[in-house]
Amino acid sequence: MSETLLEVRKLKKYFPVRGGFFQRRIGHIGAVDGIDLSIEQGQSFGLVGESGSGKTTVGKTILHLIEPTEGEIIFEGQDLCRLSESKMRQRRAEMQMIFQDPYSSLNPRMTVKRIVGEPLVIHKWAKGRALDDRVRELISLVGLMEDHLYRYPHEFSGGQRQRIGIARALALEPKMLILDEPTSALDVSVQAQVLDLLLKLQRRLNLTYLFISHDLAVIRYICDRVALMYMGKILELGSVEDIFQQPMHPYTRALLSAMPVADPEYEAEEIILEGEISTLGGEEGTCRFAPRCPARKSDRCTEEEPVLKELGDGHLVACHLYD
Amino acid sequence: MRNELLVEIKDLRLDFHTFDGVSKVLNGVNLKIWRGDILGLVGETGCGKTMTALSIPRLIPCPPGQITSGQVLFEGEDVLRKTQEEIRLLRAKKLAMIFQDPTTSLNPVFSIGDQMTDIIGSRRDISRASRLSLLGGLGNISPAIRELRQAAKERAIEMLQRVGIGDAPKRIDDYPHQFSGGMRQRVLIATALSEAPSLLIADEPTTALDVSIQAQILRLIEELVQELNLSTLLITHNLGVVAKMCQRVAVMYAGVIVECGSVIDIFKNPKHPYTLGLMRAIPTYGTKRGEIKGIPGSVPNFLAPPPGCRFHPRCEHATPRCAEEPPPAPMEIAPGHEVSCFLYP
Repeated sequence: MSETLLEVRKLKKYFPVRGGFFQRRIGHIGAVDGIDLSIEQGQSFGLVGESGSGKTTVGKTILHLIEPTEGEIIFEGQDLCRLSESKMRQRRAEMQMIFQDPYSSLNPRMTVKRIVGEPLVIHKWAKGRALDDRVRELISLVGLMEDHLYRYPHEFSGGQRQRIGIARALALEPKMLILDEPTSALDVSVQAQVLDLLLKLQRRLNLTYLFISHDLAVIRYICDRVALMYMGKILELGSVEDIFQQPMHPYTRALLSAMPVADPEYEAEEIILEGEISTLGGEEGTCRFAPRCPARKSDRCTEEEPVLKELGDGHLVACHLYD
Repeated sequence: MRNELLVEIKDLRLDFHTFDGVSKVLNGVNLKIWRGDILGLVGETGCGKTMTALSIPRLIPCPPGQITSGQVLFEGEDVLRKTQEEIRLLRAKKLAMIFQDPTTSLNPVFSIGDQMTDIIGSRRDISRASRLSLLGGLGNISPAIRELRQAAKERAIEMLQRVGIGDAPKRIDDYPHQFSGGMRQRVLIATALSEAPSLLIADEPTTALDVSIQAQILRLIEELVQELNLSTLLITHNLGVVAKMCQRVAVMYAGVIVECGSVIDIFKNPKHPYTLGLMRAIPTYGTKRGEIKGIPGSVPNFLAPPPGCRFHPRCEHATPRCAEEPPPAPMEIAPGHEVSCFLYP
């Protein structure tokens, strides 16, 4: 299609587990355990998974809000892991994040004008009249009124707050937005408004999205490509049509079948997974999903870790069923 | 199936007295729950869904709440006129409730066994309830109470096994933090259904859970509802869950039930503009980009709700009449399908 904007290679992030006397390091949790992604310019890439699968950690390590343990993050051909602190700060302007909770991600003591203008001030992009004009432009871009400028976050509803967060993220004219569950805290009626806005902005500003969510319906609606994460690994990756129409991995199949469909006449066999995702365990060198897998057959699943293999057309699956 | 009425809420009006004035939270709610039915109650946040549900066990905090008119009939008797003693008996024997957040519904400093024993024991013998929950140890002095606790504990283990908690006799001594979210919700379901109630009120039971865990819990609720022949009021804002679980649906907006009917009526033939708006807002299979549409604006401020129909400022079919007159009484446009809107006289 077009050129690759962001590429992630063998990304790992281990968090130490401390315990015992002196809080020594007694182990680690592989929150992200060797992930490869590539996102093309102008695309929406969806990252789906249950809580604890490591999807937010991926988003944060890409922005270096958390230092990755290992791996390369290549943005426009430049490895972000090798940049100095100050260089990284400049590049970060081109990638912005929108958070899940519009209540805690806005400073309650700042007016909307200051919140939206703050990135411009910090990066010394504008001041005085120019700052004023830019903030007004941003505010109208996300569908808020000029008289909202001097109000405080508590005066707004959840959807409006999320719009303020989007305006702030757009202040530095980023090329890419990392959206971490941007609509999970919103009602369906408001969620639709925000999704609509995001689609409009993407067309208008030629933005690239990394869309992190656990809501499969939303991902299906907004994304071009999807990756399914489970315990720090990608289990399946492909275009939205492939993943939703021909899911290959047993986990993808189970998740899709468990998603409640808003149609009382919809009948489909439901695969209910036993057990829950666990943050500890899932030993290295085995398939992480094996303990819950309904299709597990051979001992191979617990002896050998499956790697992502292409089944054609950029549809990748990590499962021994497809060897 | 539709033979007997279990709960009937008639023209319930509820005010909250706040420093800013009187907030009219419920504005004439009419709701019927038939025996053996799962009724879904849907609507946006802040529409009064939870307050409607809390009126059945009379758990609305008064003050600041004040029920200004209406009746809540449970098996034909008005809950609002019962004495304190009668209402406790009703809550203990007939009603069960599970909440959205399984973490805050359990006390972190007591083992789940202690909490379950207290609750089950008190439900069995309300007169001894105060002595039962007096920190376990003290209650053990009297043999009668010891016996009651023992029986309650056995019942707790039995229920834990029923809801799928493996190794229940051991896990009963664990503390809430040792359970995951889905497991905690199972513990709450076990506790709620221990004494074979007739009505289960489930307030957003799976909102805090992951999709795969949500499927497990919904399946469990479905099984138990059948097994115990429960009637259920399921509050949720997830229309997918409603389509899957419920037989009847009531759609609520700003303290009023705007539409009520069978699940097929509501999903295949929605009539009220608000219901239509909700249906258009959710992406489902085959929805193309740009096809979903939100409802402009947000739920009104209850201190100064719009006059007339409370939905008219957000409604695309609004006429001057909608702003002047209160909306008409629910009209039955098809058997069992009621709408309250000027569009359907």
